[in-house]
Amino acid sequence: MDQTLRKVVAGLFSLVLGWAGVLAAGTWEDPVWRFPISVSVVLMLLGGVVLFRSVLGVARSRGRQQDSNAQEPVVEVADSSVDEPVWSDGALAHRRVALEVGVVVCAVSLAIVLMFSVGFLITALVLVALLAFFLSRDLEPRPVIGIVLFTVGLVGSVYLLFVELLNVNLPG
Amino acid sequence: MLEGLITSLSPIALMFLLIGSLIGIVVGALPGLTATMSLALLVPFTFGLEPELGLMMIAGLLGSSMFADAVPAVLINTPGTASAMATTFDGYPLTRQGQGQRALVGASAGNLFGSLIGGVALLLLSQPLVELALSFGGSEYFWLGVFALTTIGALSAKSVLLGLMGGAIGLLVSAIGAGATGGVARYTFGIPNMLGGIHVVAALIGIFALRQALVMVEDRQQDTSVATYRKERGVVVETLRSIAFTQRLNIGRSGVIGTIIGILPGAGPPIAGLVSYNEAARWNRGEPAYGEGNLGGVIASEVANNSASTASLIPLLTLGVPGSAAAAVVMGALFAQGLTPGAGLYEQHPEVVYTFVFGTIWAGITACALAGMLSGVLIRMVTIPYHYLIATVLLLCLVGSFAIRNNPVDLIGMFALGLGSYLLGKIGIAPAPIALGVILGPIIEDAYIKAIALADATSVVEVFFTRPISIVFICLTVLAMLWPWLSAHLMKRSAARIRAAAAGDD
Repeated sequence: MDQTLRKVVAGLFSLVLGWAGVLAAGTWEDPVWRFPISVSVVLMLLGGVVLFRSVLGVARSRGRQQDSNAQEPVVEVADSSVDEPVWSDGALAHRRVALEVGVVVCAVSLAIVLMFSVGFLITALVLVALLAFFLSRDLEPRPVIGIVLFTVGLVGSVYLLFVELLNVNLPG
Repeated sequence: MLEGLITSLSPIALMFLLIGSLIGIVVGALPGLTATMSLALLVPFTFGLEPELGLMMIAGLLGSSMFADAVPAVLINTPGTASAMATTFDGYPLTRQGQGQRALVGASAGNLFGSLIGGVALLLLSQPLVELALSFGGSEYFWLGVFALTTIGALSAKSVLLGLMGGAIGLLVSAIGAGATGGVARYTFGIPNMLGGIHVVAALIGIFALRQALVMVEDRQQDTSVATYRKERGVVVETLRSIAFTQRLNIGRSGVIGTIIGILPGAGPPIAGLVSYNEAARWNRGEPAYGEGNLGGVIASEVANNSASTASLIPLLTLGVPGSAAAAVVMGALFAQGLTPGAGLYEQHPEVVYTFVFGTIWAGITACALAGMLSGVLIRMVTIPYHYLIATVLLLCLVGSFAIRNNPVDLIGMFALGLGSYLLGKIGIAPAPIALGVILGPIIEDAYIKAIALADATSVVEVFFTRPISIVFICLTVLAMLWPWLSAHLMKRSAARIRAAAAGDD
């Protein structure tokens, strides 16, 4: 199994297990449940971080790949003495990473906004629909899966924080 | 202490030590079966015994399996357990040069010296650590547990995050059953049999033994080609004389390295063997070079891994925190006997502790004697096909996990955890952090509840983050988490320096 895919699966598993741990637990006020809830939250956070790092890793490697592809014709241009701008090393990679991080941030923001406006269940449905959409478009699936799963994890964490720990009533 | 010494030398105790040693030597010599796994399988069968006798059996198994793992390492270049990895570097070349007997005698002597050095360290360092542990409160124990879990997570997995994830999964598994306070059912799904949770020994059998059996099913390729091995007269005496005159420094250095690494939670015998081998190779000025059949390499690895194995019991017995996966299983065995490791154990049951401590020292001697008598059998055992072993292990898994409490939940839990840890291994989560999580869960939770109760009266920050010992453990935890990155950075820098120096020379 590919290293990145492994980490994505591990992150997803951790998120789901942590989430299940919180959902099956009692309330924070009951001291008996504080330990399992804390461990579950830690598990979710670890899952989120692993997924996030996997996404970034894939984005970086794709960036590097595209960067090297983009630089190949530049050599020919330089040989023909045409004064064309040459990308500095890693510039494209940084752009690519920035783009991917931007997508993650947007997805997370959208998810949080959706959660507060239309409710948690609908947010989850939207995320599943997005996942299906990206997969059906025959795009490079791993970063997309990573982004969506990370979003699900983060939404879960926020939901957990507000509903389970702080007892804030959310719609939906 | 004296009572422990006398008990450990009683005929019945020595008999159980011998039984444990025989099992250990058989298991250690079989590639694929690990010492931790065999310990987990043995523990259910020690329930009916007096604690001293059960622990003598465990001491025998632990000591002799650490020696016997060198047999396949020397003969077929496959370490019986991960601890003997460094033994293959020079052991197998020696066998190929027709000096297999010399390598095995060296490994046997290394095992003996390693056990003695580790045992003496266990005797000398226990009391100061017990006195320190008596000053610990809930917060200190909480951070100590977190530190142990973090270190083991960081060192035993490919990634720190995955290691920590394994530890957290283990902690969650430990929460199954009636709560630590108030007896509230947690994650029992309304099943009454689950109120008692999954027994820690059944969990360990699943995590180590069943998982290993599944790994063996998957790994069908087995190297059964034993290199030419012949016994010759006078080799034993000549080798021992050579060790006595030329390897004293190597033995002392490897013993110290092994003991220090063994005490650190998470590092354990495999790392001790490799570090010690590396140091021995660095100090070597003679011929042949390390890696080409130098007996010093075999001795360095075996002394270090044996002393580390014994020294890993120091944090377990004094602080109640296991230093390795095998120590975690020993902790499970102590729990099963109704004994809680830690400072309290030294105060309430000193005779049991010291019997066990002396047992670990005698185990080195027993293993050495058995190795001499059974070398012919051990060489034939190395080539036993996997399918016989797998069937035996599975049978022992079933019997062992059900025999603990006659509770089917333990059986199901064992299967679930075995399958789970096998699948988690596929995504890079090692079994040791999961097992440590299961073991440390109740300890960390208990300390957490005590500290939180105190924090309700004062403040969380004051209780968890201002006590000096807690601060030390917090710093160590952070260091353990950052260590993989730090070490990688340091290695890069030193590699760059070497390259720069080489370029300068050119």
